[in-house]
Amino acid sequence: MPALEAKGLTKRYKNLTAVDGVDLRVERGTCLALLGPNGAGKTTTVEMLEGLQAPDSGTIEVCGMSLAKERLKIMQRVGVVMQETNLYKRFTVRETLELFASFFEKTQPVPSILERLNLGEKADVQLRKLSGGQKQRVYLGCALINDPELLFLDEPTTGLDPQARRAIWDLMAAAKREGRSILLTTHYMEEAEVLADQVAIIDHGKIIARGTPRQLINEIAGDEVLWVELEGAPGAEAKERLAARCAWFSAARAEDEGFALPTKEPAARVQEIFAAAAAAGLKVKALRIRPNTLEDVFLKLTGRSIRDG
Amino acid sequence: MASALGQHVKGRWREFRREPSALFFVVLMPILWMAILGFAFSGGGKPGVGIGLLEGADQSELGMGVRQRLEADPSVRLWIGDRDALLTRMKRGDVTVIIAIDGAASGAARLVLDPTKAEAHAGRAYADDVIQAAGGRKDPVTITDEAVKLPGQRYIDFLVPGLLALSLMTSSLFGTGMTIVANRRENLLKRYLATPMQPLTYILSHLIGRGFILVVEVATILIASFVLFRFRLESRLVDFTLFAALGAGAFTALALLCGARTANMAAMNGATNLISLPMMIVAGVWFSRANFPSWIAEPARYLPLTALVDGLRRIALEGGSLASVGFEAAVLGVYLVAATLAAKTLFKWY
Repeated sequence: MPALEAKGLTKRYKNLTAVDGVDLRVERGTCLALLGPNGAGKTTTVEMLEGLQAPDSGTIEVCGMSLAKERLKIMQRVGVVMQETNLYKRFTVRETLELFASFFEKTQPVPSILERLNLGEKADVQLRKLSGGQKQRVYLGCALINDPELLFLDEPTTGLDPQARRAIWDLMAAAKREGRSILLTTHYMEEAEVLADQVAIIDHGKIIARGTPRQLINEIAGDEVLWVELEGAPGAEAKERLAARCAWFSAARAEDEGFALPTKEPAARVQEIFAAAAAAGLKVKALRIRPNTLEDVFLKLTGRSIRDG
Repeated sequence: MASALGQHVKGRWREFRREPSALFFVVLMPILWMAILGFAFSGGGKPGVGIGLLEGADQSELGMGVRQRLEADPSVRLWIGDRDALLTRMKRGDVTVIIAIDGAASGAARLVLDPTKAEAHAGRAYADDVIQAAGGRKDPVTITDEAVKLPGQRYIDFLVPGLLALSLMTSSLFGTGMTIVANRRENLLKRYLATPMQPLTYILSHLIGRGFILVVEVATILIASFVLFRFRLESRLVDFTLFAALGAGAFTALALLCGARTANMAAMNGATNLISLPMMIVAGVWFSRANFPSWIAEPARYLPLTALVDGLRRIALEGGSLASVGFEAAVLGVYLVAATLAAKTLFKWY
């Protein structure tokens, strides 16, 4: 029995279909990352899974129970971190956790949560005096207080600095090690690569690809990315002159000062590039080979960067 | 889920205690109003009367006598001048009646007054008395005044229950309403929905939490009014507090209704002011509603603030029990139930 299974989820607003026939499945003890740009339908999907919005059609089962029928029972067993939530700013960390603990039948002791979140010293500090990263850890603590089987984390690290983001990732990884299942939405590809066992890419309300991060990268984006910077002609002209001698180069796209292009045979391509450049009167100024990322997958699938929204 | 309710109620109390502005509005503002108005309208002795005396009166014996009597009475604010100057004084409210005594025609006096002004009649009676006495009237009966002080007859006594009602209204409407709107705006209500907590728990916590704040409000006003003005309840504290609680409940329900949907603080503020400002004027918080024409005073009885003010006054000043404020309690009860039901139907968590 999966931790979460949703079939055919659809949500329409007036003249917009925000979520269009989405199927999702989170296996026990694994993390599924729902990836997509802003406005792709991530949050609407998650809010339907959390029972905050009713889908126009589709079914949702959490821990083997129907969300439509047994929402309150399900809520005892899930933890949630939402976007842009502000808890009472004049509550201390401990008071906030105690408040949330009071909502559930089964809870973890507040001191153990404080310790795990590394917030022991801040236990009696009011939320308004915490940094963004500390506050986000408190919110994660509220999601963990009921010892949940499934966590919904909607953009849990948006707006945090890299260090605070790492701290949240560590906590999420620890939750996974304890056997909790996670549904994560994010538009940080790195976050998905670090934490997710499965990735589903959503755009315009539809799942356009799914698989493990490695599968998606290998199958969709190619194995590696070759990046080259040319000298001797302005960018577009340089690309044209090179592509005239090796046709595959026309698929390259501008990236930073040079051109990037996914490839399965980087070594052979490098030799061809040097030969073609010399023949075209160009000089290779810099060249790099890097592994593909989910960013490249998204770009390949949609033709735009995930950050452009 | 009793513990969730307990935690929420604790939370309401923390919000109140840790929010400096809440403390100001609930504790300091009523005391400030009480001090200002109480001292302003409790000037010692008899209320003064403003009399104008036309120049040249002392050319006759009658005029001399009148002037001496007026000057000898400490409760008279006497103005002497020409007709135009005295009419200007009358316009400003300094003078209620002008005495004109012609030097030549002894034995005749004229009084200039605006008969549409209530205080002009008291002034006229006073002037008449002074002139007749100066003219040599012999009183057949000797009258002496016996001053009594009835409890609850001072302006401050009238004011204290009104101020409490006002404080209950503003703290319930603004305190509860604004908190809910802010909580909705910051997605806190949505976050609560993603827990097994029953939403009713949150609503109940506002009603119960209001009860604790109410105790502070009642205590503040009763203690401050006793310390400053020796104000005393003429009835049992429990009746007074219970009725105050009913009023706070009605206003909290109205606040829940106003804040049932909006996440916009400005809209909420506007709605709250729209409800509270007209009531502050017609409910008789500051002055008796008897001065309003009946087409305002009569419908105003059905407003929650009026009911609360009237009921608290009857209990505090006339020693009434809860049974004596049946009509007012019914009005508040209807608002409490109707607004709660409407809020329940309209309420949106996010």
